[in-house]
Amino acid sequence: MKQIININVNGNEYEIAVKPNETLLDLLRDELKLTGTKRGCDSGDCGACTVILDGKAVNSCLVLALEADGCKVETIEGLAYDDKLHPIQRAFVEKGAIQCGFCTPGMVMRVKSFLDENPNPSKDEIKKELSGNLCRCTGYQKIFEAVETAVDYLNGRVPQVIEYQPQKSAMNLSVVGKRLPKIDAPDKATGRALYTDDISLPNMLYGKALLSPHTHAKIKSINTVKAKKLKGVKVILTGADVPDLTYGTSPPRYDENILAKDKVRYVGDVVAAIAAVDEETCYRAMELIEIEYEILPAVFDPFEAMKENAPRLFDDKYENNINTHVDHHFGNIDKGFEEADFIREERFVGNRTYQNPLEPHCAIAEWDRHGRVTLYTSTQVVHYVHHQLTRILGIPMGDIRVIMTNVGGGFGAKAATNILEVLSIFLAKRAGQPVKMKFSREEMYLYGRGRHKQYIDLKMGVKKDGTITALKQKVVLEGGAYSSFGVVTTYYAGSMHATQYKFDNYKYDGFRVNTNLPPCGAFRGHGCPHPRFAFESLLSMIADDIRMDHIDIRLKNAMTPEYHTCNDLDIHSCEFKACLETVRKKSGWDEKKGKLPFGRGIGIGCGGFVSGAGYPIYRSQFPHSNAIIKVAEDGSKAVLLIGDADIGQGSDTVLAQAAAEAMGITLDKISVVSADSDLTPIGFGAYSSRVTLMGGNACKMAGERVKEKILFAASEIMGIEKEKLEAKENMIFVKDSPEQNIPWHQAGFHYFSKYGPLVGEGHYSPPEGLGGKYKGAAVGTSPAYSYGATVCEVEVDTETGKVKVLNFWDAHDCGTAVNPMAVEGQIEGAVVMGMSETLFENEVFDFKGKMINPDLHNYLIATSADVPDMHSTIVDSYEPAGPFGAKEVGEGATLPILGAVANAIEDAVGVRIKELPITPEKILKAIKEKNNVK
Amino acid sequence: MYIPGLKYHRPRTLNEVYHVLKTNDKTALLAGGTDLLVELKQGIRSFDSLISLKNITSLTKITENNDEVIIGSCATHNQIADSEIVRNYIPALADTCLTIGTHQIRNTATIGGNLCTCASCADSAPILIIYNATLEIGSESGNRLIPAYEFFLGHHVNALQKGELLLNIIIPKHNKDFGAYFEKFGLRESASISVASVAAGFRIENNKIINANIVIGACAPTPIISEKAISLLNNSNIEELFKDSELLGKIGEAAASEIHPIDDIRASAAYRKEIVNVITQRVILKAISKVNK
Repeated sequence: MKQIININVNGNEYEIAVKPNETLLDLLRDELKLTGTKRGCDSGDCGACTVILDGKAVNSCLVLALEADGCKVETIEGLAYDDKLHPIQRAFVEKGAIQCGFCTPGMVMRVKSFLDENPNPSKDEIKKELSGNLCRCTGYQKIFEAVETAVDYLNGRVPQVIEYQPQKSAMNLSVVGKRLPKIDAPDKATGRALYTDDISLPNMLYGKALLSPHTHAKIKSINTVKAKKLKGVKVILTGADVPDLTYGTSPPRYDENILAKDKVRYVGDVVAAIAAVDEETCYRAMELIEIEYEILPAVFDPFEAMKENAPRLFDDKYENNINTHVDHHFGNIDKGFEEADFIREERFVGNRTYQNPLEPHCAIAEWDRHGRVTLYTSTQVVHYVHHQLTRILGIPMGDIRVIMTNVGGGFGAKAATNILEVLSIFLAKRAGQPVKMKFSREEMYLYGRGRHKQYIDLKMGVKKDGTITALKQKVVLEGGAYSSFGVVTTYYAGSMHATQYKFDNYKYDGFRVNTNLPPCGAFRGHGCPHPRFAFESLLSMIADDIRMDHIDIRLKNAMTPEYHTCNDLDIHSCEFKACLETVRKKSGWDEKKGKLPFGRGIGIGCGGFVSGAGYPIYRSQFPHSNAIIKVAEDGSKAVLLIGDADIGQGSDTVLAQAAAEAMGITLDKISVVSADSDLTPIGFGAYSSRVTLMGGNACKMAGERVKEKILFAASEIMGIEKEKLEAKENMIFVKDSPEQNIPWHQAGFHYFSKYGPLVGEGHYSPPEGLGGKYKGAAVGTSPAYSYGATVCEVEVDTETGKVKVLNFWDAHDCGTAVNPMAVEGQIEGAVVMGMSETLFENEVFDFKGKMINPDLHNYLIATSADVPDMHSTIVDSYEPAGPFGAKEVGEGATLPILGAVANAIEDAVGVRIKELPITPEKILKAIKEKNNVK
Repeated sequence: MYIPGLKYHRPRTLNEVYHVLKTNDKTALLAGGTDLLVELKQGIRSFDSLISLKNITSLTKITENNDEVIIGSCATHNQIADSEIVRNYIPALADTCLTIGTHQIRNTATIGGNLCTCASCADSAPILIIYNATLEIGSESGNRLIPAYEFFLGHHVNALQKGELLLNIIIPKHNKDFGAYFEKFGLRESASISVASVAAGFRIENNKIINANIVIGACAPTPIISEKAISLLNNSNIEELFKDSELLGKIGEAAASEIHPIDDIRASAAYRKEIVNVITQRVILKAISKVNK
């Protein structure tokens, strides 16, 4: 029964009836429509729902609304005044402390309460006090800087300006190459930015998916009669109610039903869908659905799964549960090992990790009366969702509108069509009402699509001088129940060794194996981080064997520009050696390596990634990225319509910079509409680190076309030949005498008045024919590759094995950094995520195959208190295939970290941990074993 | 994830609390709610009703008399950490409170909640035992006192009878000659659950340790008093207690030998023993440094 409470929120008095089981977070978001406060975990672990309650920061998800009776609540919406940002918000915007923005409102409120109590905190206090607010994007570094800046503002001081030395390739540019705040940051800082769960449509229902409690079972019968009778339940769908087809991510492996047809294959497999007046009713209905299961034997270990008599997940395919097999041989592996003076082989094991974007997946579907459906969703890949929906629904693209709202991080977790997107549409169709579906944090883990756990046997041969003569890798990927991205993952696990270092003889065997666990998919660095960890570890071990410096052996084998790899990939720009030299110098490598006291150590790791996959996920002739720029009638502003998705990485800003540079206007003269299939032309989305290069090229082309037209118009006004004119920083001037000029907008106004709409279109497709002719040659192709090197310094508690990472020095070749502040943000986020995966993260399952830690309490990710000092360098580089010379950094920057940390630990305490995560327990055990041997 | 429908009581007096407790089955007391609400959402526990202690403001007070510090069971961890009284007389409790949860959790979660939830990894328990705390338990039929140590009966099982409520934690004031320290070993720098924890406290007289106590947390269903380690520590000369000293090593080993932990997601039993060995030694040295000689 509801009870009346009186509550003051942001100075406004409310008298409102609430239910006893409603939390303060429910009240704020659902009743008062103050959606700035976010729901990240609903369990008090992430801090996204932080509000200030009677002067104290609390997790509003853990306060009953009734308990807040008579209290004063401050939320993010109450912080800015008179349209002016609060100094903390301003600092967050200016310092690049906001990426996806989902943690931002809670973080800002915590900073507010913290600085109210402690107006002049030390850096250590900041790190410690913000540790109740998890951020998965930024690596916290820019947040610390923002807090320091906010302290300056609040104390009436002028913050120190960071001197930034532009790259050579950006010297003559006016928008690209500048450290500019993200254009969406003010909305995210104020809680105004709408994420899918912040939207509620009139007459909207709520939907939930009923997940399988069993790892492997036949569905004998489903009875929904009782559940349908429950008051408030509108629709219940089971496998019999949806089209009999399979879908997935990679076309050769579409193997997921919309709802389970005959059997379930993991705890989390989707069995039924419910739409009801509220989520609570959905949950109650779930308990009333009667399902008779016949339990089948299950298998969780990939090696067990490959055995002859192992339980099979699919009877009609994937013999021995082998979902994908890759058999690659380049050069002559036997000859390569014969040429080696030294050979070493080791087994490395990765960990099953989950992306954990702070925002849980959410989708809202609404059908109109003309048979057209609109889907609002938290996705990285509007077009692939769109494409998949046309298949599933059997209606053309034009009858489906997919709108990406703000997305609270993805990292691969939202890189494919998910079950909420599909089911909300079916439920909405049947109900005749809009339906919203969202995952809880637990459901995110259970639905899965995180990193494959890889078992890697890596064998390397080198000459005395360190030259690699042969590399042989066998990888078994534990893939979970369905394919997801797994085919591609399996290829990636092998293909990217050859782009980092030069060697001619390479053999790779990859086996992706199905198990009765949540399906694995694409996670930052897709398939590559574990093999990279193995390679970087083994290379350092071999260097020790042949008494060679770890950086020297890397320089010896490092990739160089304009190189054709043994697996037929073409490298163009490559400043890998410059990265290595940079971190060697900045970290004080030569003074430290092997010379630090026991317990302290330093290690190197390297990595890099594609700047966009050379080929789309399904066969398609569409250009990969497309842009339209529409200039306002009075020439005052341009709108960029772009299909690619800003999931927090900042692509809206970066693409706007590329377009603005090309048009000759400043960033404040452009706004962006992105990832709405009705308004924006196709962009393949935010995956494979493709947006800066591919989207950037499309935007640059569109901008250049606008510039052509605007110069034409200006030449008419000025009576000067078009070829003699140039546009820059909102002015059009004569190249040889810049004092002869007119404002850009005047030319825009003139153009529209005389010729109608001023529009420019751009598109980008990778060069044709990338890659070799062998099976799987497409994976690893890209117009360009990024490079990076990282030195890590650690301190290991030799009595407990606990690691404290002290420093990361990293250098990256990302071509021209379109927005160096955003690049730093990507690097810092990647570094901390990589560190977190290396030291903390692991999905654990019980003997029945049920995940034990599907929450942010037991599945640990790095907090602000775990973050070391980071020293990043962007090296001079220019990539001819990229817009203004740019290429990727977001995924590549994760790759060096795992090996760097492992190598640093080895340097500190003399033990080599080859199985992730590197826990204190493993380190201590290894130290003890080593001492016993002595 | 949702909290199933339930009734909400908000009694205004202690007597009303006792009455509601007595007349309702399947009910739970709601203090900070940071454990309880999560468990309700996860469906691990279910109740027909909750009894809010929000209006019983006497339970949020931290007071003192000549000999004792009295902490109301609904005092939050941050309130205790910030309390001048606590800082003066039982400073290790203040420090301990700051190792629990996150800032936001500590603003809501109460010490009474931490004790009554009675998780095996409850971090406030070992140090309260070290400080010889007594728990005041109230019910309709009157109040009773029990030593803190006797309160913990098992993982999630405490000594409260039906109709009872934890009112106060009463802690003898400790002079500056008493050194105490608590350390937990977690897997990250903040907001981590204890893999193992150790609290120790003692006086030093003529360079000898007296009245020593060592309590180990998170290694059994309840906190463990480490008798063997204590007997080695008592009457020892502090000059024999330094990093890597033979005696300290023996004490650490004794502490490790007295626990029978389990393997779980955070650590193996064997590793927990190693950690207890190491942490016990560190905690003793820290506690010595806390004694105002």
